[in-house]
Amino acid sequence: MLELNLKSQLGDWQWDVNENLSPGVCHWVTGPNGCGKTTFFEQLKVCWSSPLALAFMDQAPLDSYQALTVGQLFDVLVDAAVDRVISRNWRELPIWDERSRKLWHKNITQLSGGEMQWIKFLMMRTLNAKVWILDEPFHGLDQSRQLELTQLLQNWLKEGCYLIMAHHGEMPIAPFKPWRLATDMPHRLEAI
Amino acid sequence: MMWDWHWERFAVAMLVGAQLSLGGSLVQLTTRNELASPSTLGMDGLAVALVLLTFAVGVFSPTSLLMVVAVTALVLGVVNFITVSKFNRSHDFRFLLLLGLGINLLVGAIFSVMHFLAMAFNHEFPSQLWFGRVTILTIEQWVGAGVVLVLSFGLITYRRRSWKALLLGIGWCHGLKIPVQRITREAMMVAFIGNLWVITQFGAFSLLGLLFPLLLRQLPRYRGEPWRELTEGALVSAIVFGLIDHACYNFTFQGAEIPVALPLSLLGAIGLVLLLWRRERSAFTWQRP
Repeated sequence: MLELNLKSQLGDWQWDVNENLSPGVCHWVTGPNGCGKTTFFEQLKVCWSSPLALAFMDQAPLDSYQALTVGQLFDVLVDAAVDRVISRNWRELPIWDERSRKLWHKNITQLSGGEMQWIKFLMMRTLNAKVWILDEPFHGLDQSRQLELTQLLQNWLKEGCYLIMAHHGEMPIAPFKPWRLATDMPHRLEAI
Repeated sequence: MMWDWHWERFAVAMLVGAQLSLGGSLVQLTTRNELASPSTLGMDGLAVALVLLTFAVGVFSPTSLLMVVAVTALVLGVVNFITVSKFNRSHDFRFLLLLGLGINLLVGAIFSVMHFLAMAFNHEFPSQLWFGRVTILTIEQWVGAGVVLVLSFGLITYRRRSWKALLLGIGWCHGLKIPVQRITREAMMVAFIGNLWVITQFGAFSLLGLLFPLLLRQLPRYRGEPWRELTEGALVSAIVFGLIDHACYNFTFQGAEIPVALPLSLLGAIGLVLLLWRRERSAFTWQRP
């Protein structure tokens, strides 16, 4: 069990979350547009104090100002993350299918929305994390990639990882524990 | 004509070149924006304003307590504004750049007015401030230079494991438990102090702090390698700066030494235009896998 305590305030927004997260369960933060899902994740990211390794996938585009290629970006990732990566030889990891390999030499500023989302996901997969926080991971992905991602998430859950995810619609991931963000001010996370 | 080699001057010029390059690299790395530099964020303007204030008031000596307090307040204020401000995000960063441009323009206007008044009343004026020129340092000034150098390379070495992660963006840095805001504050402080040292001692050197890192990263050796850019790249910039300064020292014009900032600004401006032109041409060219 992972105890999640978040007491934080940002302007009119406040969070007072005290939850026990279970491994192998997808904790699902849901709510309408503007209810503060992404802001909650931002707060969670900043205030994260658990010793468990965290991997975070937000909605921000890959923004390296040096216009690196995907291959260079993964080189940077394995150098920066040092002991947090599954393998330093990232090119040999089974996560790289033929379709993904074609992106190695592409500049990250030239990736399409879906390609960027997939690359961000592969970056997360390269890290050896126990807790995964994913903000709208299915956004921009085509049908086959969505299916692939769903299967991978289910495998993670079987491995006993902690998964917190935000998404609008119904996702075929079970079991999950839904949370809801109340829309009335002040914004507050409620478990339902 | 004999080439007169002056080692002490070459060493001073190398220090200046290294500080300019380091300042630009640190600011660009921590803001993840290639348009960011001590010059474009207005640090140049504020440093010149400080020198003008010292000149106008005339009571401060560089070692006086009031001066130390003023410089410390200025550095902390600016660094805090840039790092804590909500504008330090990629989509809002243009506000900080425009603000920096505004500060530079305002200080430039004040400089011109003061210069005009000094000429009208036949007073002395530090007009060389706009055209940086390397000079020999006194023992006290060498101590100051040493402090700035130790501060810069101390930070770079202390945070050597974090520089690369900054290329991945804030989200990934948080995931990797890298204190990105603290590093940004430290880097901004070191860049600003280095820039203050350069401008108060030698004058302004145009946009060299912006250009050195940009030009370095044209070489694949420095792309995606911030540690190399901050160490070896700074050394390369320092040597180039030192050599150009030595050329200015040896080849005078009508008996007067050409301030090194003049040819460097000219070369830098041409380099920047060529760089932008090349970037514009390749912007919509799809890279073949």
